[in-house]
Amino acid sequence: MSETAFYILLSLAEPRHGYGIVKHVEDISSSRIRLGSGTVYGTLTKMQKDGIITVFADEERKTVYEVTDLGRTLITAEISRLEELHNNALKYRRFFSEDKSI
Amino acid sequence: MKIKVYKPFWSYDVQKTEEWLSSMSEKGHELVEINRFTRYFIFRQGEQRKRLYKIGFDKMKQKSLSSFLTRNGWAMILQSGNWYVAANDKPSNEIESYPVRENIIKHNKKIMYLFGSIFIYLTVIVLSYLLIGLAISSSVQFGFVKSPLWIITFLYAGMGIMLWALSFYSITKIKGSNKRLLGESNYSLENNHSLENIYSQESRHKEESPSRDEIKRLRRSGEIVVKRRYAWTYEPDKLEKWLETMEEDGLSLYYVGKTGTTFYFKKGTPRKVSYCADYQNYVNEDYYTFHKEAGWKLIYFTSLNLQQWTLWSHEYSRDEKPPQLYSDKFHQLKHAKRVALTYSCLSILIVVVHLLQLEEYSQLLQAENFDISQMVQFLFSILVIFIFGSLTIRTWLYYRRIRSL
Repeated sequence: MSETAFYILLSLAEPRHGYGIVKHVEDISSSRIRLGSGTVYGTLTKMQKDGIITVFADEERKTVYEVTDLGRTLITAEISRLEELHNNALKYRRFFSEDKSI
Repeated sequence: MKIKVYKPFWSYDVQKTEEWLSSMSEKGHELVEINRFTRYFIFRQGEQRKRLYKIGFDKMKQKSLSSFLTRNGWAMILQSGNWYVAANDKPSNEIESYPVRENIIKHNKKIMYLFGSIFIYLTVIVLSYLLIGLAISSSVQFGFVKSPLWIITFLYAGMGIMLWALSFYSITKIKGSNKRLLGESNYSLENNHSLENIYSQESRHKEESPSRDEIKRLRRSGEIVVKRRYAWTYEPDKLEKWLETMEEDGLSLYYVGKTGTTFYFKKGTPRKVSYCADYQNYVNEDYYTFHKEAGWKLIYFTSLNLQQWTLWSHEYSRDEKPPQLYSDKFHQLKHAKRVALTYSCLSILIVVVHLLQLEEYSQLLQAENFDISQMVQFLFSILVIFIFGSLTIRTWLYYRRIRSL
């Protein structure tokens, strides 16, 4: 999963509007990631086609995106994979560091 | 006891069908099935209740309502092909979410284009026959020969007329219904209660373009510089760069003519502005609201519904990073590929047709009976092949530039 797709899906921990996703990703990545609206629109359209997310219209009839069960399974699997990466990164970091005592 | 009701054109106006379903429910008729082929709605006798119905369209095989909708009281009543019907028994002021309409609008548009082409085709055929008939009626005497085969002719004519009427009915009906559906989704966005002023394509154009007199006045006073740029859709990145340097030179893009070739710049102070020309096969209303919320300004769009070019601008300060519509390589490449493939398919068709013609001419050339008009056609074919060939190469060069970024 690309970083973009991962962060978009992660920000759907609760249902959000399209631009709400852009803002949220910017917040949680401390402004490191600024997603372009075209990128988000394209990813959301694709995810919707694949059944990873679903949409509904809110009171103001604006489109809100929500993760489906399939999407939930997918992001959980990805988080586990990243956990493994993270653990191994910590475990082997000292071999690459100049100060071997870390 | 079951009740069957025939509704041949129910999908053309889903809002009307939904209201009708609600009124049936108030009479105690509960919807159980829709037969899409016979166009029958089947109801069973139940309790009388106030119920809100919403019809949805979804291409996914396993349709399920979003969990937010379910929590808000929505339940899936039935599914039939891509269509589904959801109902909610809550009072309408407690309902906070609804199934989306975009897919219905998109589906309706496809049907409209299909009937539109049939309508144009039939009209052209009838008109051309009428013209030929008129042209030869002075010289040729018409007479009817008695024959039982006439029945086939009449049958065909009758079918043609019916198809023509059906097309006309479908187009007008869907047009109105789509406008209402669009108005529904923009109802609160624009805070506008009248359907006449909905945020549709036409109003978008009117709202965002200056009047003709205004442009004339500015041109006369020398405040505006006009530049022309042809075939930029084959290399949109060059257009973006050109517009960005114009802004840095103090020429800000003010308006783009309807055909997308004339660019009007206003003289002013240098600015930092990002431009993005985007090509999509189909866009929905969300596309526009999304980019606008992200700070992009819509400068130009092609008025074709199915394939669309849009031009966006976004001002930024000198210490900021230039904003991009596509922030990742994957989507940048995908866009370039879409442009290159679409234009190549189109060009290849035209080039092949003209190559075949060249082949024919070269045979004539060998036979040495070549006149001037054929010579002109021969040169014309070469010109067409050259133009479309070079345009196709340009789109692939654009793709290569994006790839090597």
